[in-house]
Amino acid sequence: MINTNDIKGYHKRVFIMKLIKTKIYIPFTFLLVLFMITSCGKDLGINPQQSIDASIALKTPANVKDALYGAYSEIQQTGVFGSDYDMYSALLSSTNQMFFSGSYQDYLDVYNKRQVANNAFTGEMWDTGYNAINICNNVLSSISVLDKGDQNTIQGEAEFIRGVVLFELVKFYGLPWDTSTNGKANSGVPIVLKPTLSITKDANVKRATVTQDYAQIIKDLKDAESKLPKSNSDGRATTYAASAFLSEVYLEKDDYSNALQEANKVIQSGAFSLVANYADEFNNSSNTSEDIFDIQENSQSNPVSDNWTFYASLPGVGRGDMDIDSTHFIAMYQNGDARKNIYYVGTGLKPGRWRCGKWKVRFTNKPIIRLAEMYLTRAECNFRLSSGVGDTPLNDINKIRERATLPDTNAVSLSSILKQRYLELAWEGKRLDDVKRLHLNVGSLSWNANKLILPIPQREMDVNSNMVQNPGYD
Amino acid sequence: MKKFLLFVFMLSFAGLSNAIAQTRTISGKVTSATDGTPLPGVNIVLKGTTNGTATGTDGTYSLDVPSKGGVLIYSFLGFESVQKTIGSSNEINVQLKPATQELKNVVVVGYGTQSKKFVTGSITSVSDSSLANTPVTSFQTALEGKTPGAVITQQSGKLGQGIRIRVRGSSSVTASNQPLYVIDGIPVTSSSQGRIGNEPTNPLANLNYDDIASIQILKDASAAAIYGSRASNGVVLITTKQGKAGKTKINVNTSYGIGHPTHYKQFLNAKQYVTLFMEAAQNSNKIDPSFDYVSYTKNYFNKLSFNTYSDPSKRYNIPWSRHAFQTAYYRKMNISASGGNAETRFYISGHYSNSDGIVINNAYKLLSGRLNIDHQANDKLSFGAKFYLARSQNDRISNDDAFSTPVQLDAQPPIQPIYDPNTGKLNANTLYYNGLLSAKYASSNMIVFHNLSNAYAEYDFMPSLTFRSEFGLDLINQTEEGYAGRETIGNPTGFGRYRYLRNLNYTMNNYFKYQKTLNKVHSINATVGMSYEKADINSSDVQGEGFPNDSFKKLASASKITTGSSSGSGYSYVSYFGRLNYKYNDTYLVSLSAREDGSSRFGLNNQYGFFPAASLGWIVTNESFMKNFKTLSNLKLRASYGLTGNSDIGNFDSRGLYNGTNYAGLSGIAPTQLASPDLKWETTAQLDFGVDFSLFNDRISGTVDYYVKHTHNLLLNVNVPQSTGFSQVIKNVGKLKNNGYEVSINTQNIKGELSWTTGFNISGNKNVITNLGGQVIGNINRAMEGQPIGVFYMVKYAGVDPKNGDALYYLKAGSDKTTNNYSKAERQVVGNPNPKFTGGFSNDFHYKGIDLSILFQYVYGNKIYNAAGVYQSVNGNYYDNQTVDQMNRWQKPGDITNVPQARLFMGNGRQTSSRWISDGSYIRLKNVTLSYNLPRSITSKWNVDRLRVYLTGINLLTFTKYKGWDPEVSESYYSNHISNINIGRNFYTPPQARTITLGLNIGF
Repeated sequence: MINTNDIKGYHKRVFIMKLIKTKIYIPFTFLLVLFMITSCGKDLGINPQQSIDASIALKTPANVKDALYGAYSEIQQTGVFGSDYDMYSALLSSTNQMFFSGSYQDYLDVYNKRQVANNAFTGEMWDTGYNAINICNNVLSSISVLDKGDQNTIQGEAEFIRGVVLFELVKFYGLPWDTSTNGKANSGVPIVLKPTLSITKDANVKRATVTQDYAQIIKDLKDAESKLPKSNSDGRATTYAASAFLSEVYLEKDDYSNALQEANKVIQSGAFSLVANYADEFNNSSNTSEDIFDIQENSQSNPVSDNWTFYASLPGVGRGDMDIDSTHFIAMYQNGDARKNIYYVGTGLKPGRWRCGKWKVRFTNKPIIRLAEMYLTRAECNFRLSSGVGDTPLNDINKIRERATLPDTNAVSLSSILKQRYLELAWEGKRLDDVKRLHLNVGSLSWNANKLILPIPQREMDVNSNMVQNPGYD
Repeated sequence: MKKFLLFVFMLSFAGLSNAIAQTRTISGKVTSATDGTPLPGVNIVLKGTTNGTATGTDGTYSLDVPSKGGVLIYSFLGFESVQKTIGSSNEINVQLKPATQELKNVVVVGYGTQSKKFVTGSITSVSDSSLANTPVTSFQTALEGKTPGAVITQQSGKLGQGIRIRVRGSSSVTASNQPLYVIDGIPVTSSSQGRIGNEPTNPLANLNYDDIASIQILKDASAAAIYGSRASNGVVLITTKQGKAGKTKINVNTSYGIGHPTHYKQFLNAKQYVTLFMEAAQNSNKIDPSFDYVSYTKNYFNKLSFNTYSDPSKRYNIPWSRHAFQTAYYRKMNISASGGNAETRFYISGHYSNSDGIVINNAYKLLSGRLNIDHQANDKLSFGAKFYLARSQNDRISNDDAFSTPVQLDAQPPIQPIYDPNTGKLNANTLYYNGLLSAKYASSNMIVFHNLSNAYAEYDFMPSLTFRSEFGLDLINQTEEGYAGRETIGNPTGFGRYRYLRNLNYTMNNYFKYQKTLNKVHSINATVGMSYEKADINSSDVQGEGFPNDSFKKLASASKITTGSSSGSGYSYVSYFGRLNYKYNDTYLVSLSAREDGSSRFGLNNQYGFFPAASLGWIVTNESFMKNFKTLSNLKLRASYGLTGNSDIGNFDSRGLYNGTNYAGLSGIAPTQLASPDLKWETTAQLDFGVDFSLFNDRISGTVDYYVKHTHNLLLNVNVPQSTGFSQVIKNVGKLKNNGYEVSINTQNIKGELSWTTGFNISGNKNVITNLGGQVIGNINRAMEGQPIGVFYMVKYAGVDPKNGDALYYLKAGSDKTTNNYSKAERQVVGNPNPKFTGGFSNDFHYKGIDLSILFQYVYGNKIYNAAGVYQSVNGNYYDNQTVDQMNRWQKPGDITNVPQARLFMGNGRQTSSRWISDGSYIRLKNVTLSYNLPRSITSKWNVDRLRVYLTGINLLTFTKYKGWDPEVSESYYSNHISNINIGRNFYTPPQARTITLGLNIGF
């Protein structure tokens, strides 16, 4: 408040008196100014309270372990094993077996195989996947910080995660492995093996070939397999999880003997057994005896929620956007097949349609790879190679049939093995892999059609000048 | 020395006059010229002496004076001084006029005030009278159309929501573009403090704007640079009311009103709906014989309509979109008292208002109290304090992207009933989740206790040198509580959440003011000081499920806590500032100012920034050679140049960070951000030229400004390849430019008993991003080089192929070639969401006790993208109800239309394109107020000084070509902050309210 009207005539005397007195205020004024200047300068150092500085983050053994857990946390996200891998596998591999009845045009486009480069959702897998890989790279660059006794396990886990994520990425964003060319001709996804500490020109990575990707995946998983323990706490990766994924990787490149060996390794370890009732394999709050690797869930950590959101339609739960077709799909199960009962007619938001009950209870684990798949892989590979490693294909298939409460069969063929594989693993994110390696058609699209892979995210195309778009999307 | 001689002379004169004492007594009464009330405490001095007295409580006085001659000076704070020559009468009665003219001519600038006449910066000033009666929830909304240079956009018709204000354009891409708000000298928190997942709120809606005396918007560098690092987006200075010495005045302002949406969008009725979708299904059957779309649709429609849709006599025909809205009632009561004496003055007020939203379940209640006290302890020391405490309750609805938000009801097919005919309950068997279930079974509110208080002391070392110290705090104590019952989607056992936030922001300012005139012509006015500001933000959030039943809504009854977290953050600023104003002969003006700012937000290498500014002014009409130009009563030329900064980024954006993570009980860490140790201020250099003029004895007055703002070292979230594990890193990269003009003209068309004044203002701004280091930011709205911020970038729609009904797109920018293959069409810039110009046009009439004011507000040249078009105006691609224009779909070869053939699920014309872009220009009858002041002859009988009845209408008429709900729109569901880039979009965003209120203003 400035009172500018004060200096009236009668004030003049006071004014002059003040002038004389002013001198004593000069030192006082200086003191005040000094106080003002010095008192506050120290207070610019405000530190974050929910974060730690990157420069010290990986300097202690505990922190490096924490970073590994951070990688697990990343692969549970929607864009990784949370739900995208099996959602997109279902949408891309189905025609009339299911119908996407939701209003999300970006999903509907994928279901219709009409997805475009700037699809709002398909880039999520890329983004989260590479986040996970970067975390693994950070862990792998700091292995020496760990106590000697922990080094193998932590390194194995980080390589395991990096390997499986790269495997999923190359399958969705690269054309399928083509045995005739060994994948050489096709562009895969970039291989990033160093942690990002700052952004340099090197950030503009190029796509590797599919061959190079598979080589890196196998290298990571092989090393992980050798370093990982037989059992691990908190649902973390084991040597068998690495073996199981290796069997998938080999199978995808038609390397049946290696696939067979890895699958057999898991079965013969005796570490796992089939759950007695098929339905009991799903919607559990911890690993079952059959689970080789699960995404762990609880009510505080539940990114798998997208799966029940889209698959389920129950009171208060789910949007019911993934309609399962009873004529074209559920009818494939013969009567008496316990696996048929996993399908239910929904209530809730979109009542009256068939739903897959594998994903309906919130906050429960999501099986990623389980023992039944190993039996099916072993059976298929033994059949193809006319061998009987571990057991005969007939016995392996009957094991699967018995659990499904089906009578034993006397003979198996490749197609009967593959049919069991389809029915057993339906809606678990495996079908697209089988479609591609078995050279099946999806509607009128052949196994290696451009629209059965996803576009490189438009954002990545805009940012990275070295990135090349997939055919059919430019 | 001269003064000393004068002093001696005066002393001897005083002595002399005492020696020849021949006295008489003068007595009389001092009253207020406005209402005749007696004024106590008026200083009365015999000119040239120290002989004086003051009036008593009844306004009377008596003073002994020499028997001959003399002049009495009557002075009283807040009133114009009067001099009376003592004549023969011993009684002198005086009426004092309030110094309104003086107040009007003073503008608040940073750390002080200045005479408007001599201001060299560019400042928009709004005084209280134009705000007080506007029935809106925030003062910013009440300013619309009145602030040249500042564009105010209410994002939607939801109450308490964040408001977009752009002072002279957008000066940043990543850092905030909102101005700095300073209330009574203290910078305050103005950004949303609400939780992520809902739209931004406006903490300043908690301010009772009946308390506001004036608002100044500092626009150019000269005015704003004193706020240095935070001034690039302009500074809004708010000054609250102070008491005036004199009789205590009590003012009651109450009003009641009702509101409705400004406009309803039209959707298909049941008949049209069935027609369109059966046609769409048949068309799809022809294209894709593998699936029977017709029977699928029939089955589905039977389910949705409870088997009634096929029978026109039985089927439901429900205008679902209308169920999103309600009649909004508005009530307000504001009581204030002000007064005091020469030593102590006060202003005290209480406020209650209760506003309903025009959308269901939306309301805003404000209860507040204020006490402002100023005290003059002696002729050197004064101090005072301002206390403000408010409680607001905002009943909130979901963000625009949620099924539960009311406006998404317009997606529901009209063939569905509201109530399930079998159960009589709200229909849960709808195409989309029925948002009415949330309206009934869910609630969400935000309660804020907002304390804005400060205290100051001011000490005059000398009349020319004053020291002022002030301490202020802005404390937001906020809870957000919500419960969703079992009937709502995704909550089979109920869902509750509770979030608490405390944002404490405190500021200390210490500064010296020096004012001196030398040799009558050299006038110096200087300010120098420092300021320290610190903010401390803490919050916690708990969510739970598993409630016994829906009667239990508190988390104490939740069997499962699904989220529990607490977090803290903060920032600080240390600043030194100074300003020097020099004036020669009231004609030549120079102003220099500077601020040195340190902020905790920046990299250790660059924590301090320096922001200088200079300006020149020339009052041409004060030159002697202008004496003869009587038509020109005032002409001032101004020029300014200076630097301002922007530091409004995340508190820890410069750090490389690892955050905590959770994997089903396994806690970990993960990198979230790369370090930018060199991160520093974004700097804006602004050049401003201005002219203030008035003609014909102020009958026509106006201001014209032209400015150019160059922002460099943009604080930019630079996109990086995600294959690095990061999507962005913040860097100082890039430049942008704003240039524009502001013109405001006020005329007094008729003076006298009937008076008519007109005000017109227009502001144009052109924004262009000149350099982003090759970056492209955003998706649909973009920041890209060579374009204004937020341009719509997408494939350009080319209409419909008359041969087959396919949607067509332009292949390339500037090419006429079209394609029906969306993937082949190149994206291009298809529109600019920033207006070319905006402004207001007002007319005020006054006749006897009747006042009529009419304000038009306009926005021209901006585009709006209806992001919901992909669902609601997409020729029956999915079962969403469609806007009526979709009935113009292509049906047979040769049809010329803009709406493609209806094809269920086939995405014909469905992809993001310019199809849903439309012109957002509008002219709006923003505010009409008709008021009547009852004559004093009547009111005085009731002991009432003033009684005014008024009728106000807001948003009464809107003239626009925009096809959506309302052209004043910008959805912001993307984040809980007002976005810089995602502008001019509508996504199920509620329209603005048209409100009519009746009010009563009583003063006594």
